[in-house]
Amino acid sequence: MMPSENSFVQLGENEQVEIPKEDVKLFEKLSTDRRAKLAMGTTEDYLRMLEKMKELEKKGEIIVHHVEEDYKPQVVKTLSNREKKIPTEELWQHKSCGQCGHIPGYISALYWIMSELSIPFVDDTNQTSCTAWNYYGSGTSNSVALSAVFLRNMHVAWEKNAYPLIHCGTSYGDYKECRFLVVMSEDIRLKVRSILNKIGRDIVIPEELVHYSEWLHVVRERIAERRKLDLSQVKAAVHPACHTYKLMAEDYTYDEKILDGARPAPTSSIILALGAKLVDYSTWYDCCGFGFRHILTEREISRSFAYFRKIRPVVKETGADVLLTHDTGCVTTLDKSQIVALAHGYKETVPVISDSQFAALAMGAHPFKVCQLQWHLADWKPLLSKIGIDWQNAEKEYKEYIEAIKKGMKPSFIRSAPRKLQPRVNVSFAG
Amino acid sequence: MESAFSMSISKKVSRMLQRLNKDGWHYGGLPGLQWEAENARNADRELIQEIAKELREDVRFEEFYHACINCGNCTSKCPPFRLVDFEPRIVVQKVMHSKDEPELLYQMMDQYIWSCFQCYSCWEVCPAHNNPGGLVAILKEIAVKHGLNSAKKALEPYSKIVYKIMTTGTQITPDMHTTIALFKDWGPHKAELAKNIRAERAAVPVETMAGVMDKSWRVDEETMKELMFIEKEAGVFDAVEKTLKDVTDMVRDTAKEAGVE
Amino acid sequence: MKNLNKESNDKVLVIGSGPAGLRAAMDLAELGIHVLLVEKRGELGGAPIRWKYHSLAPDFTPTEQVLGPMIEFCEKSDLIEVKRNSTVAECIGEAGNFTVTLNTPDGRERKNVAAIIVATGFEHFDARVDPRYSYGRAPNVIGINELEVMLSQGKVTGHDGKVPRRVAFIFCVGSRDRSTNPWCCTVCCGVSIKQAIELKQLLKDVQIYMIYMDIRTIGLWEKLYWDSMEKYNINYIRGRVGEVYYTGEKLLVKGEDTLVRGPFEVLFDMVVLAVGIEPGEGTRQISKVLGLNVNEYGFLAPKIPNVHFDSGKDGIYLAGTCVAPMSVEESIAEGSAAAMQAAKLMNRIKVRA
Repeated sequence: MMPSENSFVQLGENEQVEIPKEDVKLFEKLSTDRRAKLAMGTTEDYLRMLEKMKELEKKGEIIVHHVEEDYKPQVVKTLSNREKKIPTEELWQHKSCGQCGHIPGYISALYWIMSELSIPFVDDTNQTSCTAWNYYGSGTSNSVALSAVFLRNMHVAWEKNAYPLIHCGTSYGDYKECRFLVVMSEDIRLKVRSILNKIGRDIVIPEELVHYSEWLHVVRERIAERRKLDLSQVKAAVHPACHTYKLMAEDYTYDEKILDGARPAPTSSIILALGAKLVDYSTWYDCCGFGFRHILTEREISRSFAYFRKIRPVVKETGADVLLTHDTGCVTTLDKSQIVALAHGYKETVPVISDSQFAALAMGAHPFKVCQLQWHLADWKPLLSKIGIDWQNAEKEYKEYIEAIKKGMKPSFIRSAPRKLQPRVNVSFAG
Repeated sequence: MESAFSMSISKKVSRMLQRLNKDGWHYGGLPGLQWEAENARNADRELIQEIAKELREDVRFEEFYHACINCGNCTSKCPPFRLVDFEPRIVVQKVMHSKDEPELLYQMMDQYIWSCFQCYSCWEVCPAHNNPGGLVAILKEIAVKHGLNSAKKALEPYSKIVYKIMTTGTQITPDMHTTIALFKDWGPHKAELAKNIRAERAAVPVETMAGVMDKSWRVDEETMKELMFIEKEAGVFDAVEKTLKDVTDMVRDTAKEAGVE
Repeated sequence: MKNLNKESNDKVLVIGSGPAGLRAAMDLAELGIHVLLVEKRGELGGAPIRWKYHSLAPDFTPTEQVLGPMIEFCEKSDLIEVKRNSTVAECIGEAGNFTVTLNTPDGRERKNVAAIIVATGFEHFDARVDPRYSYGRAPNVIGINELEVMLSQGKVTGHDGKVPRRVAFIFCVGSRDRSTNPWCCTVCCGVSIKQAIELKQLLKDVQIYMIYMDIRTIGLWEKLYWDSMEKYNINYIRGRVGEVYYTGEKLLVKGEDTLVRGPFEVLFDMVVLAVGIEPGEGTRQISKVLGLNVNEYGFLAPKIPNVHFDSGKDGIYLAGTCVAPMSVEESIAEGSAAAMQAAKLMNRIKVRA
């Protein structure tokens, strides 16, 4: 007599065993359950911090800026299989000091995509950078100042009722550290609170810290629907920014269907969604070589590392047409480091752009007016030709455009779709 | 046999050499880490104890430092390790031994830690969950606070950028690209860009950035005031003063002009 | 056909038929005590039989020499009732009078037993969980368990069917790492070196590199370490591996050589991962059924860590790798120790009755 509540479970290649149904779950959960316990870096501490954040909110000690339904969130999984909410609308653009300074195509491409998808956003002038350059680059700040700057920016976003979307990998990493400190250390919390109170603000901590590449990841299907160019012949390699997935490894997006969940999903996923070929190389996990100070004052190290550990392997092993990344420092280092090597007679070169610029190009954005490729130094002409963009014509158009600008014409600004949410007014604090 | 006269000259010369060596740059002298050790031995004992105490009292230390089994996982992923003699494993080992030998920290802060890229590849793979990069970041902050020579030498070359971040909150700005001088190793294309930078910048289709040359985006006056206020209250001005006196003076002036009391 | 007394209450239930369970069953039977031996798989012998261990450290004793007699005894003894493909689903009662419900291929069965010995053994760490080694994604990356099977068959090839010329053994995979399992698996060092020696004997020209953090060849196993270098020219590099990357042809192994203080990135044809001992599903399931304590690592927790057989519950005794990682010889000893406790209990019951 075979009881109906049993079933067969595969143990190895040639063996099965029959066990009760409730035990089957134990076997099947093996892979996801174990990975949920895979604690790289500070996963367990990080999850503990999130619990403490909920406790503090319940006690009324802090306000948490939740990813409410109004932000139309989508859920992704992180390294430990935690569910993370990614807001897709009504975003507060937390800009990167580096990008905006000298690779503006990064941000203009992102804004253009949002405008095409009718996503309302807030581009604030009441925003400082994270100032984490003073942390990782120079050591000329401290935990209290960095946390206060973090919370100041988050407070502005909360007042405007828009969810912060962080553009820079380093800002994202720094904010992960600061949030951890503010939640776990009462001392830091008190010091930061007293400073914020003096400028009429208080502690508002975002429920999730979201990097823009994660946003691109969750809306990639919508972007793919609007794809105008054929990318099927394009080989794209990915360079992931260290600070997104190594600094507090727990928080970044992983997806079982992208690269078997073994590597972070963003940027790789947009390449696949756009129909291009994703290629792999032996130094995927290596840093770009930015080093913060090194890119300014010890450039031989930065460019040697970038060229010999990243650019050369990418070109030699994969023949990639483009190298995509999602952080300012990475684009800068990988793009600018090729020039000196080429001057020395090395042949390998590959254009380096951000995933937002790549996606925008695929959707038909102008390579110069919108994607601002003229600020990039490594040769992008073969890439544009391959995807069917007549860059000579585009250059001509752009030159005429610049002439007109010189004569006083204003550029056609990218505008956000009209906002549906109202800014918060008359906010008061428990103190 | 040496005369009394030549003896006193050589004594004078060695004394002068010692004066030259005060900042640690011992040209043509002992190789490698030996002069770091020499500097540490001659340094102020109180300063050394103070530094070791500050490291351990930092709020992040408990999170960043645990046991080290010398496995080398951190170093296997470390970028500068490929090019120079820097190992995050050594950093953690020295932090460990600094409990009884605090001069090891001082020794590291001389040259060693400034090689770190702060990429945190070490943090991600450490089986004991140490954060060597994080320990280095704390040590850099301590070096700056105490005005160590290594900090001065590392930061002075880009004082302009430190000033810009502390006041406007933005860093490499378009006005730094008006000539090719600052970034000439970024290629001849830079000259082309430099010529047209104002127009290029005016043509950026983002309203908060178009035409803004001195910052990365247009920043409200009130925002900069808040930033400098935060820095002042959090002790950043005091911390940076010993290392970058000129920059700190300028920032203080700017803050006062902006109305930050 | 065995002549089993199914109605006897004076039975000891032994859960698991690895070295510990087999030894316990044997000892009890030799004392004249009835044993009910329950095994969830289709064959007896536990890990050494399941993974077809070629030989046992330190002296390369053939596995059959150790396990064979025990398995044969248990299969033939009239006092041992063997239930294969069976698990324990429920248990109620107390020492001297447990009622257990078994799930067997013939359906659910209720049995009365006086004492229980838990010897549910271990599982090898599933290296798919740790993506840095590319196990399960790249070809020619195998575990020490899979290598044992190949050594038994006398033929070692990669997934591509080719004989490897250069092989790396990576120690401490899924051990001594807070990201996966923090404990040390005790025997992997010795077993890996044993396998390296056997591999060298099989493939005369193969170059072997042992990439380690510490060499923990316990006790008398130390000679494996010295022999491997002196007699078999096996190389040792100290440094934990950060990444294994498949180039399309070979495996690129990256790490820091901590003694020379330089990076290494070396191409190998095959990478063998010393996948360690961790508590298996069987142990987890039994701990729930019998209400046993489990320590923070998932192993069964005895009342005092230094006395393994004492589970803290009267009449239930623990033995073998379900309590802590250990070698085959230690498991066998633990099986005997648990059997002794069960026998003492049976004695007390008989005296009372």
